[in-house]
Amino acid sequence: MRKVLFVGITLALAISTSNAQAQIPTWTEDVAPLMQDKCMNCHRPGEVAPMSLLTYDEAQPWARSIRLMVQDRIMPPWHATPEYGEFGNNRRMTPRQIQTVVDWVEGGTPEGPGDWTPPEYPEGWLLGGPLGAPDYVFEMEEDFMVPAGGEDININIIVPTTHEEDIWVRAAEVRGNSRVMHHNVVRVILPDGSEERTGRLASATPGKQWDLFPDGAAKLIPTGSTMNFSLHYHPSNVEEADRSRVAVWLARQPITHEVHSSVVADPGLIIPPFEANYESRGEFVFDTDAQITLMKPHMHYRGKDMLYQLVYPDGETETILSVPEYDMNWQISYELARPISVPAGTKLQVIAHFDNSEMNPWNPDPSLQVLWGPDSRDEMMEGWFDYRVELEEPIIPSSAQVISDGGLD
Amino acid sequence: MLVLPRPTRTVLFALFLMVPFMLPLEALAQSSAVGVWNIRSRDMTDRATGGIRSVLLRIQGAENEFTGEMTAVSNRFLPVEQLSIEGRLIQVVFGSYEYSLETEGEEIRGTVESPFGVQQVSGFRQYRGVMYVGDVSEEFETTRPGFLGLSSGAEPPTGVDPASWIRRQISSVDDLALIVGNRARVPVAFTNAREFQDELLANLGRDVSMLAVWVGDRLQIRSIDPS
Repeated sequence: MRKVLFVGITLALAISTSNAQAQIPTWTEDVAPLMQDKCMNCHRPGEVAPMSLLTYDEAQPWARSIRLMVQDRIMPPWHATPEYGEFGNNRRMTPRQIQTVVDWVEGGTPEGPGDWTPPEYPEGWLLGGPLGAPDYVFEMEEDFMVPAGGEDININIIVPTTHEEDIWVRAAEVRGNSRVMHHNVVRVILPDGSEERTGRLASATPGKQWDLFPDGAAKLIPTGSTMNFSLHYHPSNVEEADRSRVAVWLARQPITHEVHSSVVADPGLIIPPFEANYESRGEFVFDTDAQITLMKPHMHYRGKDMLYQLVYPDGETETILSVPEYDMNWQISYELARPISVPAGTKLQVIAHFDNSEMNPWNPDPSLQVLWGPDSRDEMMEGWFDYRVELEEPIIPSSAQVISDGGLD
Repeated sequence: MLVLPRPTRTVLFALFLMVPFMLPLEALAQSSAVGVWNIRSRDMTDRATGGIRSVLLRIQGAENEFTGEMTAVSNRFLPVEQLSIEGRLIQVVFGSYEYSLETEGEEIRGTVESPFGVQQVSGFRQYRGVMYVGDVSEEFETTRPGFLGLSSGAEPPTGVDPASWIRRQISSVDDLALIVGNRARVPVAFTNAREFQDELLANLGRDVSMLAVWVGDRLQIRSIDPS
């Protein structure tokens, strides 16, 4: 009887211990897949994040900091309130995901069974995983040398293209030397020297990684165009070379919509000294039926919050994005999971506030009257957005015909 | 029985008398850690930050009841995980960073150990900068250089004695302000001008450096130093 009791207790303890261990998340089973989804696009070699977290050996020493950042929702950076909008690129962790990370750290950061294979980024392109190698890469013709230290540099550099027929682009990704490149906005310049009417092609900013247009939507790059790279460099403490480039992936399906990029701005803003809640407004009126696909707030050090709202022709209003605690360090694009249809006559209103008081930890000088300007110490109120407009007739791009002929898909 | 020589007894007696005073001195040394410290190191990642990594450490409390917060990447203060203060020595654990610091007056220096390695850090007690408060709205002390002039913003015409001109324009010291700013000349009024009436009048029309506490958009003066 005693023997049976002993075996029973031992078995119960073993099961209990096994259950307790099973409840601790592991790197290979729980944490790495989560971090691949939320963190690794930035936390990999050569990217903007300060450390790579692709492997267990890289991530484990940072476990306590990971817990700290995740628990307080500082990482992953995502500043839209969940009350408005549903976003396809939402990096916000759920409470359960946060608990997984916390339990992993507090459970001793077990590696877990099996091997974790870090994601691959063909030729370094984030979109290389889902889309394969890019169809074209347009690159600066020579290095731009960013000196060690000193003031920010804003410069436009013209980059040639190499395609021999008009191309329709469904995705683009901009890369440069992340040690010094703060952002790069790429615009298409037509052969006659004018800027392509649908606005910027793509951009790279901290927290924004690509421009991926919804199915059936694309942007045209006519043959003979050039690219204008509008670059903003923050010098580091050593001289750095940058040769920025943009990769494009061509449309593989009939194009039913053309993508436009536009902005609501308030270039007349005048922010008084010590003003803690200066309001700035702007609006855009759609002159045709359209679908909004993306929004990206942009302000500088004194930017405080930004709200996007629609006023439909019947007077109904709808908030589609609220960023109550704007952080200039992260220029995040909020890609809508489902485009929002707006009939012609709809107004997109953007309302922003600026904090020019001493209480703003980023404020370089609250005693200044602040005007519009490109320097981060000046201000901008820009509510960027993309929308798509249905074409009268679908366009079958040559790149799609290649697929149908070659049967690659 | 051990008999100590007279000089030794005198020294020991003097030390005995000092004991009650030494305890407050120790507490005073610890309280000197209280405040906000701007701690700087070379950015080991060489990212687009100008090469300097700057964090703020805020210590509050007194005696042996201290709390600490540190800024993270978003410049928000978060509670530190461990904080110990012994005299001028401060130990802080914040995520994967462990700081060993020593204060000396208004300066701080030491090391930070992280998965990047061990680095030297140095910094200062933060009064002067404006990138200070984090996400908490509160009054705080600041040192402000400026010109002691009129709260109306009117400035003395060229060629006249500024002090005499300003004195003729005011009905009381409440009409005075510190004129700050480089591009914009902004008058900042005071909450307690009458307490500092003599010093204000003595420095009319001059550049001064003012230690003060912000109360809304006005300054509560603590001291005035001619620049």
